[in-house]
Amino acid sequence: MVVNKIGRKNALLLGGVLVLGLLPIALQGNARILNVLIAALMWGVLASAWDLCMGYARVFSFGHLAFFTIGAYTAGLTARQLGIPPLAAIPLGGVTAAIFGLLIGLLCLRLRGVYIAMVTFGLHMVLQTVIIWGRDITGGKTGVTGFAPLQIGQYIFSPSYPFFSYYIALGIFILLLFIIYRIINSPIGLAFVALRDSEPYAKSLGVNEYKYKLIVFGISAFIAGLIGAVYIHFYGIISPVTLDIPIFLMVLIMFMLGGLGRFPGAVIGAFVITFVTEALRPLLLWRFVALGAIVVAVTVFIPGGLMSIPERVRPFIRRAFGRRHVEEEVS
Amino acid sequence: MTVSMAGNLLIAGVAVGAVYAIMGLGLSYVYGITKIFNYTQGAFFTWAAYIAWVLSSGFFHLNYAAAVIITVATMFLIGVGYEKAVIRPLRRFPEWQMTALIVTLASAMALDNLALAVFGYAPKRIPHLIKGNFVWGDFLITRHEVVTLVAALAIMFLLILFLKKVREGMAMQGMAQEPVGARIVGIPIDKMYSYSFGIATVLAGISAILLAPKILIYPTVGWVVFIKAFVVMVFGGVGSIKGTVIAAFILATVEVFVTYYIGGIWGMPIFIAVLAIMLIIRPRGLFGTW
Amino acid sequence: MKILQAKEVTKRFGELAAVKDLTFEVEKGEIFGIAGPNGSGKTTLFNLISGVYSGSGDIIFEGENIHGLRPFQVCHKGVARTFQIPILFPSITVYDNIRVGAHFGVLKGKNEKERINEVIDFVGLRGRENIVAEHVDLFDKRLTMLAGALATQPRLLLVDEPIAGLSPREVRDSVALFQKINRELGITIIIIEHLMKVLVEVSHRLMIINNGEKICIGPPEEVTQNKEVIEVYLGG
Ligand SMILES: Nc1ncnc2c1ncn2[C@@H]1O[C@H](COP(=O)(O)OP(=O)(O)OP(=O)(O)O)[C@@H](O)[C@H]1O
Ligand SMILES: [Mg+2]
Repeated sequence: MVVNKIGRKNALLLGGVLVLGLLPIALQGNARILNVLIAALMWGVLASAWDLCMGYARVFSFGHLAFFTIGAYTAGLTARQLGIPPLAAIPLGGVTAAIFGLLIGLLCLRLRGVYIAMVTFGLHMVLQTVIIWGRDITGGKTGVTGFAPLQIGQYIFSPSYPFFSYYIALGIFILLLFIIYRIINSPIGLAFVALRDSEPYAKSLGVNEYKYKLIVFGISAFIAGLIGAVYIHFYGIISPVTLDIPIFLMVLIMFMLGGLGRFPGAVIGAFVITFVTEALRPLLLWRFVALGAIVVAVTVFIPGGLMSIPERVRPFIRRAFGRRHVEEEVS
Repeated sequence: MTVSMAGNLLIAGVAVGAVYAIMGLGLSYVYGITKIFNYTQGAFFTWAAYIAWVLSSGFFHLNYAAAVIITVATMFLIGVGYEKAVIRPLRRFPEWQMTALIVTLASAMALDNLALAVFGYAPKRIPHLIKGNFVWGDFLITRHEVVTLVAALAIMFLLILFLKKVREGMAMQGMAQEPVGARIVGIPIDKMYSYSFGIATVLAGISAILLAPKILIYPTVGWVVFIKAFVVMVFGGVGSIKGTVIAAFILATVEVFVTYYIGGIWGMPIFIAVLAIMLIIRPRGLFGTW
Repeated sequence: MKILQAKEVTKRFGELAAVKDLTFEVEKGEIFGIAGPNGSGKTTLFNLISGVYSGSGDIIFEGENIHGLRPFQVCHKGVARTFQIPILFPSITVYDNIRVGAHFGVLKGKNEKERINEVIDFVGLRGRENIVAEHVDLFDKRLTMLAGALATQPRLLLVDEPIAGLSPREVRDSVALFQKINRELGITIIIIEHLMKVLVEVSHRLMIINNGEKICIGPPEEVTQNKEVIEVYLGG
């Protein structure tokens, strides 16, 4: 029965990947929608990495958009100043973000809960200020541009080549999500969940809580930084606006909506929210009022997120089809 | 630097510090009692400033005292209402304090942008509480600053008195220390939560009334003050009234001197640098207990 | 041979000395019972041994002072424990609960699956191992906690009030299980229990503490006759 469940889940995941793979063909290369989809894929990776930290390990980080931005700036700046090719600049962005992640992790080692949120949000605020004030290097409010794009033959990874870029983004997405999936199902993921569910019990069974706190910061910051580097290569620019509160909230609400610690909920949330914010564009100033209201409503009304809906609905179905289900349980 | 100039800067620093202290106490106070780190505090500041503006120079041209009283009363109702409508429903769930963090941040964003949509980008100005200066030899202090200082001291005094002497206040403190025990003893938790939000919101309102005349009002003005209050709280030690007040005066004085000698744009970086250093050396702050 | 020696162990919480100058020894292979009134410092003693708290004095396990080590280190030394309030990892299955102990509690553990299955059979959880832990009943929660502890392959096992709230039959099964763990696996057990009848039945030696201090120590028959014990504990 357990095997069945895992099998079913894997089949669903594979199905999801297949749908994503065929979407551009179904959309007949519609550039506008494809570009929104590419954004959703990138946000999906960031939201999943963040969820690994917040949902699985329950380490309350408010620093992942900062890690994302660090990765992006590292990739952009090294590409521009040192002429490093994109294929090296992107991993470098991930590694730099991971180093920051580990440093922040060290700082948070003895802290817990809300305090970690405060420290990591401190990083977020410091970063935005540093970027704006260090304008000689970082470009200040205008941001970083003017580096060689990621190019294969005549195709350039940018919004101008949506069909090509979509498949590049999808490839990166599948790779990184697969890594996250494997971590969740490995002993590392088990340690995260154990520490989340009951720290004293986990420690008594030999789990070294400091080690896993560092691991979760390191891994999730690495993935966040990597996708940040991909992001800057796609758009060809990044600015401190990325660290503004609306974007911070937008990513947060992606995995909240999808369901904290319920892979691949963060991805589903990313797709929904990316399209919703896109649809809200005509509201102009009222857009962020609406986004804020949506965040509040989602957290108040569906605390377990979209991924918890099957669980919530099942008892009702069970009641409706009472007898049939009992038989199923017995067999 | 002349003695009188240093003295004047010091006076100005203390007056600004008083505002940060009030704002920081609001944050620290809600945290102490509900364990919620309340991001809406900054948005409440912004809204209090706008409400005061609407009542005074903006539309109604009310007598300033009346405007202040109405603003403060409105802020209390907003705080209590916010807790009832938004925070209370969250409390049904385990680990709701974490969700509350996100929800207060989202509310802050919604409120900021609402202010932008309603009042526009153009900055607004509200008058000083009272005009004129006290001059004493080379030293000069505006009457507004005197009022600010007196108000800050009065608030600290009242807050401490409330927590130590009044029954509700003692209950709140008991709850901060022993949430489970408090429930058993029968402290009306719902009421305590609403009140603490109401009081903190009033503190944001008072800070706005005191600080807004000296700066311009714009839709994200509360964030700047909020971030400074946040640094003050972390620096002083979360949950410590004494720490918050001392930290506020130290940081504000440093800020005033830096602004005068190096330039206004450095105020914020100084705060951020102080925060970063403090988090590295002593994350619990000056008088933090955790 | 002594497996554990506590020397003048003290732990204060502010003014209150929860454990005070406690000195005792546990022999390898025995079941050592601890009893005492509520709040007498029994759980605090376990927390000291297992590294949750650190105080003053020495706690020597197999000749090595383990006082002040962190909980996961104590676990790796070969000391496992259960908790008074049955805390588990509620969101994962009973099997995965035990897997945490089997994977992280043993350095360079091989045949993880085999060991988990052995433990499941040993404590009698077979058939319930795939249930999500928050849905199992109190007895199974206790068994899961015990199984997780055993999966770390300890030489010393600390159990804190393992039968509180169980039915008479479950109590009998528990007693038999502890004896089986002690005899078949050769694990030394320290057991905290309020129910004197059970404690006298299961333990080879007994220690009574009150207000964090040792009152007496010895074979059960002797201890239950002790005047002071009757006064502070059995009588009251
Ligand atoms: N973390 C703590 N902080 C402050 N006091 C504590 C702490 N842990 C325990 N105490 C106090 O130490 C004393 C001993 O507690 P302990 O839990 O060890 O008692 P016990 O013998 O296990 O009691 P019981 O039979 O009720 O389980 C109690 O007075 C308790 O209130
Ligand atoms: Mg106890």
